[in-house]
Amino acid sequence: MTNSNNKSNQKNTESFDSMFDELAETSSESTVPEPQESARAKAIAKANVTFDQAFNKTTRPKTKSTNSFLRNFVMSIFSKQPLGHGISYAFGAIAMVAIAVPIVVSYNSGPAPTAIPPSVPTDRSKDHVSPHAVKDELVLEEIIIKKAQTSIQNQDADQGANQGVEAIAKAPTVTKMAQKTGTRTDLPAPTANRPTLETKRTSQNTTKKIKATTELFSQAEEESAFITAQSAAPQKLIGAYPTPEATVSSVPSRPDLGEEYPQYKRNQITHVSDKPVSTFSADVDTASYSLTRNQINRGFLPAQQAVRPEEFINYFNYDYPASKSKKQPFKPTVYVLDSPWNEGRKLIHIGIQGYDIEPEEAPDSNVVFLIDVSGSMNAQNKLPLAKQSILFLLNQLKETDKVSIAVYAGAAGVILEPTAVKEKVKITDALSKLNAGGSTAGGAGIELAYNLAQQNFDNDAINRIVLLTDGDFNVGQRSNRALLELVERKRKSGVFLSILGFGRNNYQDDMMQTLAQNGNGIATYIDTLQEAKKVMVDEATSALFPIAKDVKFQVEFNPSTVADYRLIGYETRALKTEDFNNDKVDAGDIGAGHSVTAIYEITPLGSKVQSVDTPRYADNQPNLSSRKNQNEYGFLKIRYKLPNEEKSTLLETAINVKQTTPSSDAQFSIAVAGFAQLLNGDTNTGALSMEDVAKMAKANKGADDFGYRTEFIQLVEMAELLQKN
Amino acid sequence: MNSDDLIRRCQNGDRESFDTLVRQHYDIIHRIAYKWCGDQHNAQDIAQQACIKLALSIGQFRFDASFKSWLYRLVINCAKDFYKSPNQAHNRHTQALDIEPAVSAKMERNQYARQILEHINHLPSDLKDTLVLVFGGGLNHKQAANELKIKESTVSWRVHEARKLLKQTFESATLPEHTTDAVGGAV
Repeated sequence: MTNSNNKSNQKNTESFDSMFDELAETSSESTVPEPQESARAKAIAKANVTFDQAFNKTTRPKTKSTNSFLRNFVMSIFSKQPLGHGISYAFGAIAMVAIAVPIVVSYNSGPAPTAIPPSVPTDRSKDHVSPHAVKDELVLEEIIIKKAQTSIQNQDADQGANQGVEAIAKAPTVTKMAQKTGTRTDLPAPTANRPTLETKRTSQNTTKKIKATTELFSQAEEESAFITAQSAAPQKLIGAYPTPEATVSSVPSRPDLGEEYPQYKRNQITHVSDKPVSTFSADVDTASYSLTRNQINRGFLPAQQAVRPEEFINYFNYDYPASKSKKQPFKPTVYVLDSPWNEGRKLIHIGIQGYDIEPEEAPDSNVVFLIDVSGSMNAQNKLPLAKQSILFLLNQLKETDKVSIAVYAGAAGVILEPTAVKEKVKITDALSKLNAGGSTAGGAGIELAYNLAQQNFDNDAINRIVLLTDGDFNVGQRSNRALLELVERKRKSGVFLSILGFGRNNYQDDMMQTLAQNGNGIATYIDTLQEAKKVMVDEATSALFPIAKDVKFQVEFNPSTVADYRLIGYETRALKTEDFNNDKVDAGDIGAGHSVTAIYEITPLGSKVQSVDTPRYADNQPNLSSRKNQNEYGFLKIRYKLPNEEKSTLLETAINVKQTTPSSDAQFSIAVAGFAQLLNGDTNTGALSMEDVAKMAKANKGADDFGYRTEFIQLVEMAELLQKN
Repeated sequence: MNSDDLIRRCQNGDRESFDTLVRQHYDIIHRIAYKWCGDQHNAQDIAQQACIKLALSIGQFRFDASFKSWLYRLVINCAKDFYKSPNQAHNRHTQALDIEPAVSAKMERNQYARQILEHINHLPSDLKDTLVLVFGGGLNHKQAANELKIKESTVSWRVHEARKLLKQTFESATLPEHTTDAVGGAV
């Protein structure tokens, strides 16, 4: 097997050039035949018909606030009637596409809000589909797809239109998963022509259906108008400051799964009069930073969408004052300082430091290592590195901790039953026997791992699955959704999930992020032995032991003192205002010793750079006479749950206007924030340059025991060079 | 009208503009599809799916990338989806990186071509935009340079860079498994 691999490897390298040339038509003899005129005409005709149906049959009035409320409301209607698994996904997706598209397009031009599904269907897998991975539900979906395809090719367009509307009216279910992660339009050609599984209908029935659908929409509109009205008066939820008349703009909700990277719309400057409250989930993932570092070191700048500033900032350790007691696992530190990027603006720098666990206090661990051993894991920087990472962590565990190993490739299997860490030889033996080969069946593997974890579930221990993969979740779109749902269900059983990504590039970065988010875990990207050491040795306690889960931030800005604000990063962690108090809404977890940093840039009221004038005629004028209010820029609230609890605790503190001197650590974090913004194309950093970032970082490097900060500075300098090209 | 305007009109529901848009881009869509599958019949099917998908997704183009690059990704995804449906059984067995020697030459060629085409999606945007025009649009460097409003030499440089990057990616992906378990010799 190895021999033929070698041969084909060599062959691949040599034929790369010839293939590239062929694709580039370098010889300038085009190898591509002219498309047949009939095929061209047919394609154009069908496209036009689809366009008509999408844009003209279901027009809705253009109100900005209806958008995401409408969509969410419609989804919530549907979710009340659960159906079978596979069918529900198929119909849900069809329904959502058919509904979402007209809504999106009933707007004027301009960027679509974040809540709308991505334009291009997400394709999770590469070319190959493991035959083993086909299950009943997949077959069902494929039947639907096949029917859709044949119908597109054969059917008369008009017939198709009616059936399409039926599909909308019939589609009963969008599961909570689809709602949470947004719609995935991964089914091929999800057009209005797609037939339902039922046979043809009479035109009478069709008219009824169209009417029913229309009624559904207008009902939804009324409802959403109601919701809008409610949200315009948030006094019940908040109430620290009298709010000016608020026009509620679109609230960003949980992100959709985008292409390779989570697609998000960068946080723009928000006016306090529009939306005084900012809510988001904590995030300690670091994958975006490692990925970026990897790419810059290979000589190219990362794609803008790949850069998540919060993951850059949170990559480094900052020594904010930590909390002493376990009951309050962290405490917030807030700095207010002048913005280094824009004169007249300020930064509100919020840091929380989780307490660290002394070795003698470390809880027990029950860890399941789930390793992707599919063929794509063959590269030097994947499976061998994954194994090494496990060995590193093994050395950090207690002798009495339990470890088991499962693998997945064409199928999934256990290669080591739960074994005490004491029996190290047995464990390293099992690891050494691993080789890569076959295709991936991630879903089966994860299910198996959860079963293993639950088999050995220890109420007094931290039960965790560590998934090591190159992210090649090659199980097809339907299974990805099922996977996410599985992970979410299992999270409730108390098993934590960490995801370690290996290998080049960004494959499935968003899938891994979402899995980790849904599964109460972290996602990191390990590209070098050094990074493996950082995650599995230096920060092992963070990786192993959560100290708080579902950590949410909410800041209410004071309209008397703040004109506008902008949160740097956390776009993929945005929460709705009402999600903050809702314990059912999942959020990020914090491990022992983790710190989380969030930075807002604000424009104080009355600053000469204020972009929008203070409302003159608003009903609630800023309460200028109250002394208390004048001293505060805002009010910070943090909710968290202790790892074994289901009910959250609230921490709150006022953010005073008084300037403070940030610690050197905090300044370093600001340099990092600057770097991330420069890389992701943010336009709000004024005259900031890479050189400025490097300077600020150098000045605040500190002891840098592990060298991460020096590495950062080098990265900045390299990025500067690459930008010049 | 310029192309941005045309797209905006489409997004506002203007039928004629959409018709123009599809006609303008059918060739590039077909070309990409053809390069993916190497056969005319399937290419036409894929191209049709892509046109339909374009009708559905045009509203979601956010003008934050070149339209053709966005379109490129759309077509590639349609192509992939096309091969995943059950009636395309001959593509079931192909693996991305470990190519079975027994597979016929044509399938192997397709496999390889697809990886390259797929990887274009991951290139930095300037390289990607250029390659999309050259690979997808079938433009020569001069024509691409005109469209991108850059120098022809820049186009050539970009194609060269992209070739390098893609090649690197392929080479690092196909290293055989070593016998030692650990990286760098340490255990």
